[in-house]
Amino acid sequence: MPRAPEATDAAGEVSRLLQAWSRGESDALDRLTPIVYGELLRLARRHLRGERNGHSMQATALVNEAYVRLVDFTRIRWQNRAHFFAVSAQVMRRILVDHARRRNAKRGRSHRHVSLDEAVVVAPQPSLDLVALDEALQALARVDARKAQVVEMRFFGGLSVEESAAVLQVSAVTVMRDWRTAKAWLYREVMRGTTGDG
Amino acid sequence: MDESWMRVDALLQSALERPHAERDVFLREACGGDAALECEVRSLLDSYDQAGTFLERPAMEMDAAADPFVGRDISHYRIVERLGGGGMGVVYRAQDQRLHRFVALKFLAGEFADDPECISRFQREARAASALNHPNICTIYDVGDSDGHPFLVMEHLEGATLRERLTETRLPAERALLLGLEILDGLEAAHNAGIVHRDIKPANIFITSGGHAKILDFGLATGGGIAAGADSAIDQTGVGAVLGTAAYMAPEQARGEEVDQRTDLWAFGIVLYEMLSGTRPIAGIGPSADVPPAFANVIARCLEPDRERRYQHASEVRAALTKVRRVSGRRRRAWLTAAAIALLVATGLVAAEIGDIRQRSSGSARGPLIRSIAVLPLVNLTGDPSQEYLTDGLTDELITMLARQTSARVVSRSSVMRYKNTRPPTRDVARELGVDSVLEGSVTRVGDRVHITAQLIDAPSGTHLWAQSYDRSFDDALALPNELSRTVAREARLGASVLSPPRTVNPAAHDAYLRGRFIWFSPGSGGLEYFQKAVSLQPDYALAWAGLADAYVTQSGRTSPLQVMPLAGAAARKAVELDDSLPEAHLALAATLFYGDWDLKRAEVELLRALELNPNFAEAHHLHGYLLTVLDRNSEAIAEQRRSMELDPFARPWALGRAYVQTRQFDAAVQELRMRENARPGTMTRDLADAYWGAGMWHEWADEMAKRFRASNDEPSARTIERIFKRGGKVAAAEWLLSTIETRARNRYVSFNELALATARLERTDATMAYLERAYDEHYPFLILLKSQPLFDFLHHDERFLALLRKIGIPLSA
Repeated sequence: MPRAPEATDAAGEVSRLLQAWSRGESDALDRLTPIVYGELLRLARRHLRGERNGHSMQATALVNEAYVRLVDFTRIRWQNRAHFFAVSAQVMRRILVDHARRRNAKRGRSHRHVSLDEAVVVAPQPSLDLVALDEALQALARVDARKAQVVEMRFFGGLSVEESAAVLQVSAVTVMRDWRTAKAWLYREVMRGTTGDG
Repeated sequence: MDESWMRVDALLQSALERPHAERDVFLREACGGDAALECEVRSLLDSYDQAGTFLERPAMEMDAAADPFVGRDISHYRIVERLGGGGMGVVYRAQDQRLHRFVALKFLAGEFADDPECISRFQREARAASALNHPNICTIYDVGDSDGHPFLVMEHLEGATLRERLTETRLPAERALLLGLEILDGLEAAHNAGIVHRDIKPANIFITSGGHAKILDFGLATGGGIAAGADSAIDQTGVGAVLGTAAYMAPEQARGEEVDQRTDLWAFGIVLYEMLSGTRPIAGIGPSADVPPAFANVIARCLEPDRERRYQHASEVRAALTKVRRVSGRRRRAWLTAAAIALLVATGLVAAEIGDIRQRSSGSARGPLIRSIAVLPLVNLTGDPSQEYLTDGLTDELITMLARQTSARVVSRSSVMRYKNTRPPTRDVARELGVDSVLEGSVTRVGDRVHITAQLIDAPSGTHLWAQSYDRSFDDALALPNELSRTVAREARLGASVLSPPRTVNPAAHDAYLRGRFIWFSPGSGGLEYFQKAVSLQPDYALAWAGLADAYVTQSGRTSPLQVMPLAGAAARKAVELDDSLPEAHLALAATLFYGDWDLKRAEVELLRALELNPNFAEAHHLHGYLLTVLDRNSEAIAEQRRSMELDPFARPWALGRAYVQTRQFDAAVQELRMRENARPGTMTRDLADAYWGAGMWHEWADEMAKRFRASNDEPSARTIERIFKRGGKVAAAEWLLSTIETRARNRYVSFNELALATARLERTDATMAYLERAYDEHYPFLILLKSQPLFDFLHHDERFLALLRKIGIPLSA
């Protein structure tokens, strides 16, 4: 199927920016983010709105879709793919946290607490307050920026350990270690916030 | 990042890598009374333990679970949370405001919700199904409608679907049997009411937290007797669901013929098989060994393609299973054994995966031809350091299998293990190892499931050639290296793949073997007890016998060789007897013949056999090189060591240099060993010093000796030898060395060989001969290399020395 010309142009642009970024040109990231943001937001809205379609949406699938749309992957190496996912992770974080914030505002806090308590009783995985997590993550970034990045990539972006390692240019083992510490730290922080609220 | 945080982080990691029981003591000691530090680490440790699956599922998935329906009132139901969504509909937990009980609400999904035909059928069938009232069927309370969206109100169940249960582990046979009987009870009740389920599969069977089976979605697929064409199959289960369901579809259903209760019994047969084995049966391949024979017959009858030959009613299946249950009461022990001994047969590949790979590979058939490959250590993502043995073991086997099954050069274990904890960019790794492709991956383990990813990367371009992930039960995962290596061999066109014979391995024995190898490869080279455990669990496990032999041989350099060597020999012979096609077995036997029996002829026969079976066997090339020097076939010996180093550059960086020393080519030895030492400082053992001594480069020799003392943190000795050499030259230095060794020998075991070497530097004939005779009496294994040691050259005219060579069986130079 022929691709729309503007899609090809965007693909070329995104591929070029990704290559520039992985070469260390940091301003490439600034130009990359809005393009990825636009595409991901469009896709994410579609999925978050489509509540009746019955498919649970995964970040990885979403980012994959954006990747396929935005990147000319015949011209790009897999390390660049990891970089794309890293940008996407930042963007996904913004989209999801904004979405959660708006939803919380709509429902009101008391209601949210009721459903949270009930969720704890039955659901093996209580739904998480993304707004609280986002705040905790900002605090973690001030203590240890790389650990916060690892969480962003893996939790918001759905990156694998290897992919995160490729972007951060550390070993997979380091990513695993960062992940463990960050998980312990964030859990404590989020729980403190919850009990502190009453 | 501030320093105190770095300490907290490092301590937390160290604590997490220790077993729970040891953490307390570790922290107390490591924090050394710094209460604030200890408190912080403990708090994070507790938090880690409590965190469970926190953040383990990506955010987007969770957000989908919290959709806008939640919190709304529909009719008199308040929706509390979303429980899940399938192909057919989305399910919510809701509170019935009138009866004050929890119920489950199910809405028709997406496209179906807009199709009036679909909606009316949904309502009609739901009403019929609501007539079913049976403890093993999820009860339908009501059918409602919200703004044109019909929904079902169902019994609210707590627990998980059988699908979810089976992703963690297969079920014990007795548990599978009891659940099977309950499912049959439910099916019988429905069939008696004239309702066929039509979509029996693990996702439609719910296991309550009380442990009972409840069939879901009864009557939603079709009413009894309605013909289901291919179109309506898509209509009713949704495009996405068709694939998942097809696996449970009876032949008549797949052909679009009319379905009846026997169609459900076919699907039940597959579900039963899956409960027992954790996998679905594969057409054309016999049942998994996990399926006890008594069940296998019942399943086979359910899966008769011709439904006339199947069981005709659920009650018949139930009667047959009840019989299995009675038999099992009597023969439980025999059963458990049968279930424990899983057949790890390489032919049990999942057809779908192969198909998938083929499809993709046909698209990129122009891929580069790979001549050499390095398998990087699989990364342990289990979060549990005690699983290292598993990841290392799988890596190791993958290397062995690739080496055996392909013509490519495969870098050996010890060379790639350097990248276990540090991972430079793939291209750098490839350059260091001199390969044109890299295979890397990871292992995660959840309960009994092992998830393995693997990707093959073309080193020059950095592109992915192939990637695949596997999700297996723990037992099946042990067979993965064989499967993976064949796939990689085919994908990367690594040359002809030789079919290795299927082997039967008891998973517990295999597990013990992997643990044994893990310890054997780590410094200290133990592992004996694990190999012993492996062979006691499975006495016909050839590889474990070979491992046992290796462990004994390694021990022989430290303890009494006279006691250990016969045990090594027996274990190695046993290994070869059990599996003559196993290169490891032949190498182990060769080693015991070489070092233990000093039988050069038979050792060479075994080595050649090992190399015939695995031409890429670095260890075998290395030992063959030693053997050739003893036989004075020097150029062949050099070639063999060169080959072993190509295959495994880092395991024995001194191997080629040592071969030059053994063949008295000292200049070449100095050049080679210096080059290696410069590339990786500190990796040489005494070989460089020996080469300098042989070459008569005394200053360099003394410097090298001092360096070696410094490398082992012995600064005083380093200074002493420098001072003594400066004043008295090599003789004074050698005298001092001899005196330190003699002092050491008074306090602990020093081999007579080492004492002989020290006296040989001073060319003291009588003392050297005396020590060598003692070494012979204790059967010091490395005496077989006696003639190859240049330090003893001054003895070559001594009759006693020549007699000793003859006694050992070393041929004298022409």
